[in-house]
Amino acid sequence: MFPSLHSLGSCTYNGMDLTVLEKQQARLKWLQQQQQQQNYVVQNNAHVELCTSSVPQFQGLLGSSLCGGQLVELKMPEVYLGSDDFHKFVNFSVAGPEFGVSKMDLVMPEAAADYSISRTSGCQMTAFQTAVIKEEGEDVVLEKMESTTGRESFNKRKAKAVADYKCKDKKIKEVEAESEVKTKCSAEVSRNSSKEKSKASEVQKPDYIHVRARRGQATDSHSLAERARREKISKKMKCLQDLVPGCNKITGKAGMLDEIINYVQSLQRQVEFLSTKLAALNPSVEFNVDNLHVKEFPAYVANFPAAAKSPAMANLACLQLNPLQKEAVNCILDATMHPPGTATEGIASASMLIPEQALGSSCVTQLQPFSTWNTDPQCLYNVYNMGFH
Amino acid sequence: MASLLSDLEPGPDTSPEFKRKKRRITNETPASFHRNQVNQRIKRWRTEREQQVYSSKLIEALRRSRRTSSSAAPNEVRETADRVLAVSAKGTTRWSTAILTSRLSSGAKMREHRKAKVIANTRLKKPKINREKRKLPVFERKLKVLGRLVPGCRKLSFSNILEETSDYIAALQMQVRVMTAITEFLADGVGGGSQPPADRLGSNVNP
Repeated sequence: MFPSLHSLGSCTYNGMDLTVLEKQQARLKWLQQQQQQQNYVVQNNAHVELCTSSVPQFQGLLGSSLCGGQLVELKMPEVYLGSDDFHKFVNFSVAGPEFGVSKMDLVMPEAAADYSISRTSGCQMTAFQTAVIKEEGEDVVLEKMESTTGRESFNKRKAKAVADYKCKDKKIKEVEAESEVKTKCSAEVSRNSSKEKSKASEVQKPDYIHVRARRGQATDSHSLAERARREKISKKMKCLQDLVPGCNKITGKAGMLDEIINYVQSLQRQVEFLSTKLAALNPSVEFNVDNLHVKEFPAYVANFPAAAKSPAMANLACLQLNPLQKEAVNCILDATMHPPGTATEGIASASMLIPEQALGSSCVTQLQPFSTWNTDPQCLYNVYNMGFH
Repeated sequence: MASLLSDLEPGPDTSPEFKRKKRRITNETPASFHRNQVNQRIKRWRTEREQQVYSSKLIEALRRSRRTSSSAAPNEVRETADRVLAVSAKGTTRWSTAILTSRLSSGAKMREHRKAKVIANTRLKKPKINREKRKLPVFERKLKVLGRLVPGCRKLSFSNILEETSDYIAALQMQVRVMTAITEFLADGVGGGSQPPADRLGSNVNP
C-alpha cells in the first residue's frame, strides 16, 4: 500500500489535484480494508505513516523548484482534505467501548507528526507545522468535544462530517467514495446500534437521543435538536388525536388544540352534571344499593351468607362501623396505591387488616371468586358487602 | 420476556407497573421506553379492572362523605370523584398530584394569592404594555387555556402539556363512564324500590 503512495508522490505539480484525489481514494480503500480487520491501533499508526510518507513527497516537489508561497498553497488543500479525512477516520474508528483506545491513539499522530517535522526543513517545516498544529488542534477539539459533550454531539458531528463529506464529494465528483463512506459509516453505526442507513431515525442508546441528518437537510446541532423536538411533539399530537373523537380531519396544531380544549371542557361539564345527579340520588345510596344488588343478583345471595343479619343488627352495624369503615376505605386506598394483583385481592387484603370483629372471614372468602367484572353492579355488591361487614 | 421475568420474580404482582419495571432490563432506550410507558398508562384507563377499582373506591368515598357530612352538595361529590380519580392514577402524573395537593391545602387561599398577584401586577405595570402583550401569541394563549383546564399544568412546556392532557382525557373518559353507570344503576334502584330499607335488607338477604 505504501509503495504505491510513494509512486503517486512522484507525479509533478500539475497533477497535484489528481495525486490528492488518488491519495484520498487509496486512503479510503485502505481504511476500508483496515476497518474490516477492526484493528484501530494499526489504522492510526498507518494513517500517521501516511502523513509522514506525504512529507517526502512534498520534499520532492520542493526540489522541483517550487517557491515557499506556492508550497503553502500546495500544502493547504492537502492539509485541509487530510484533516477532514482524519476526522472522518476518527469518527469511524471511535465507537462505543473502543473510545478509550482511540483516544490514546489520537496521541500517536502528534508524536509521529513531530517526527515528520524533524525531517522537514526551512519554510516547509513551518507550513507543515501549521498543518500539523491545525490537525492537532482539531483533534484536541474533537477530543474535548467528545469528553465534555458526550456521545450526542459526537454523533451529531459524525452526521455533520458525513454530510460535509457528501458535499465535498459532489464537488470532487467522488461518488464511489461517498457510497463507501456511507456504507462504512452506516456499517459502523449498525455494528454499535442497529439502525437504518441514510435516513432520519433515532438511534437507541442509553442516555441520548441520536438523530441522523437526512440527505439535503441542515446538520447543525440546533436544527437536529429542533427536528427531534418536533418529532416528539407530532407523536404526542397523534396520540391525542386517537383519544379525542372526531379529530382525524383536523390538521395543524392550533385546530387540534381547539378541539382538545373543547373536549376537555365537555368532559368536565359531564362530570359536573353527573355529580349533581349523584348528589341528588345520594341520600338513598346506602339503603338502596344493597337492596338493588340483592334484588338483581339473587345468585350471589347464597355466596354471602354473612350478609344474613337481622335488620336491627344491620342498622346498628351500619352506624357502628363508621370509624371502621373509614379504616376500610383508607386500607383500600393504601392497598391500591401499592398495587395488588386484582381489585378483589386488594379489597381482601384491605379487609384482612381490619379487626375481625368488624369483618367476617367469610366475607373475605366470598370476595375471592370475584376476579372479573362482568357488569358494574356485581362489583358494587362486592364492595358494599365488604364495607358493610 | 417481561412476563417470564415477572414469573421468576418472587412478587405476586402482575400489574402493568411491575411489568414495565422489569422491561427495563431488556434493551429498551429511555425514549421508546418512556413512550411505551405513556401509552400503557393511557391504555390502562380503558381497562375494565381500572373501572372496577375506580367505581368501588368512588362508592366507598361517597358513602363515607355522606356519613360524615349530611349535605349532598354536588361540588362535594365532584371533588370526591376527582380525588378518587387522582388516587387511581397512583401519583404518576402531574394533574393527579395537583388535585390531591390542592385538596389538602385550602383552595381558597390559593385563589386569594392569585388575585393579589394579578392586582399588584396591574397596578405596577403600565396598562399599554399589558394590552400589547396579550394579543400577540395566539397559539400560546390556547396553550395557557389548556394548562388552566388540566389541573397542575399552568406553566408547562408544550410537549409536557400534551402528555398530561392525553392522560387526563383518558382518565376523564373513564370517570364519566363509571359515573354514568353508577347513576343509571342507582336511578333504576330508586325507581324500583318502595319498601323501608331495613326490612328490604333483611327480607331479601334471607333466602
